[in-house]
Amino acid sequence: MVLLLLLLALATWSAVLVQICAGPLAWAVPSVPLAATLLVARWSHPGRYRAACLVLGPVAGLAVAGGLLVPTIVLLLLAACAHRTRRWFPVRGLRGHLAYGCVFAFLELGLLLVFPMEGPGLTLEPGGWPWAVAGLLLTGWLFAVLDRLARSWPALAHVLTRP
Amino acid sequence: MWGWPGVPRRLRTPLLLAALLAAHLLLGPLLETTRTVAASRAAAPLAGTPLDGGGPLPDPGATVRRRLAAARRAVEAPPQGVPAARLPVLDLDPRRGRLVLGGGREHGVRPGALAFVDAGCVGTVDRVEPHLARVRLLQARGSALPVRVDRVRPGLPGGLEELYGILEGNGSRAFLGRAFLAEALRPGDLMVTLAREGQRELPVGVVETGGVRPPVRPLADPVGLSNVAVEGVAEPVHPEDLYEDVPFGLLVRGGGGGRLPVGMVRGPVRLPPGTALHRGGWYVGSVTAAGPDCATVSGAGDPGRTLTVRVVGDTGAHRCVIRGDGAGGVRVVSWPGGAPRKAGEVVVVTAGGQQLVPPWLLVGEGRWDPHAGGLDLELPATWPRSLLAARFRHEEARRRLLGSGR
Repeated sequence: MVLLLLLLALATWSAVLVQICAGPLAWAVPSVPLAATLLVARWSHPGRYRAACLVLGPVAGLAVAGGLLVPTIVLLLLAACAHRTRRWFPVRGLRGHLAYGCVFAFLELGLLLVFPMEGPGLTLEPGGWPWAVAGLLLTGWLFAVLDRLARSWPALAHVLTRP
Repeated sequence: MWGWPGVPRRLRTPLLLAALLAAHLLLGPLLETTRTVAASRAAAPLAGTPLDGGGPLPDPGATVRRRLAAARRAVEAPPQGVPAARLPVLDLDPRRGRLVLGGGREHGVRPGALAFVDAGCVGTVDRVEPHLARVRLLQARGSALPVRVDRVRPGLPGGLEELYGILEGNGSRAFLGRAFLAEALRPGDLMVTLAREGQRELPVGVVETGGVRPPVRPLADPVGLSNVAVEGVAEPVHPEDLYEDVPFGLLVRGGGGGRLPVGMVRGPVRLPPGTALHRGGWYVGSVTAAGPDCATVSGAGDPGRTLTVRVVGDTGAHRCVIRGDGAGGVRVVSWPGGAPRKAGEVVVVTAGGQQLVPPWLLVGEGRWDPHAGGLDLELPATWPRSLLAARFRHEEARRRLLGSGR
């Protein structure tokens, strides 16, 4: 699990670098920490998704001016929600996972935009919405891919589900 | 492995959330410093590559330079009829009623000297350091300035021809205290300073309402001042002399409505928040958070960034407060001294009186039209990869003057 978290942190850091240098296109970059945290929240016990949030959140927070811990808080809220509701919403199929990931990506975007921060925080200009929508879709797609990977790769499923 | 012994399972996530929220609310500056250091390390691989957002700044051209030089001469000219040079304003603390000036004992500033502008007296010098001085404003608590009522109307009891008093401040307003026959004053009566040797009297304020201790409205508004004249000072102090340039390198500039609408820079020293970065006469941005060898810098067009500027056009230089709109542009927040009435091409430069931003750095060029569009300002699209931080030379003395309760 530690190795998995390190790999996910590396992927998150790479996404942060892309966001930093992408300018307005940064909103189209999928939220790697959200997709990863959702996967862990639906497959593992609460301790694991808390650990995932504490590792991936601060890395994602590097791109949030004035709010290093804000992504961690948002991820933890969403992961807790995903974990609690995993039996109520038994998501099936690629489309189901895509829609599920998109809904959570939308919630993450809303929470990040309304979260009170002292610095500039995150702002989404009217012209940035098409990119943000692309980012939501890509996040949903990434979650669906990760879930498919876990289902088809027993070693990953074992790491996620073992007690 | 991830367990919390002794804490019920149901409470673990809520407790963690509460702890994170408390840290976010209580440790904001520390977290932002941590973020600055970590983000600068993360962005280091981008520095010097085409992905860092760096690029050349435009050349303002000879016409713009001439226009700025003329505006600067007009703004920094000494007040007419008074042999006193101007000193740049560095800080205004309205709550405590203080101005910190760039110029001190070595420039001839003495405690008790009057500080004034064209409109009238601002206050008196109350503390002097070798290179800085502090002015106590007329409204400040403990302020006391002897004044005379100009043009006393005839018919006062006892045939008095002149009225004198002490103008005192209570922290928010100025009153005429310890005045003989104060009840004889009427709203609109003008107060002037007592004439000193070789100088004319300076206007101070006008009586607002009558009474035994009538309130007085000072004529000079300290808000937005970029320089003030101080009696006894022969040579002006140029703002540039108060700063030294420290080279900094650009790590990355993530502007243009991105998720990181700030720049990261790296250099040899820790910069205090508020320090301006510039290059080739252009204002690039100001430090919002800093680590030992790096800083987060916010540009004029970044969201939530407020900057006081001078809009220099055909009708002179007008003070203006602008705010970044997050999409690389700015919008006008206010015109403290009134907006220019005539439309035309304008050059926007930094104004003094805002801590660590030197005045007369170019912010952008554009057009002002009071009837259509307002201020349409074009900011530089990129930041240069090699920057200069305007580090204030007398930071210790500035802190002493700002922090001292006396």
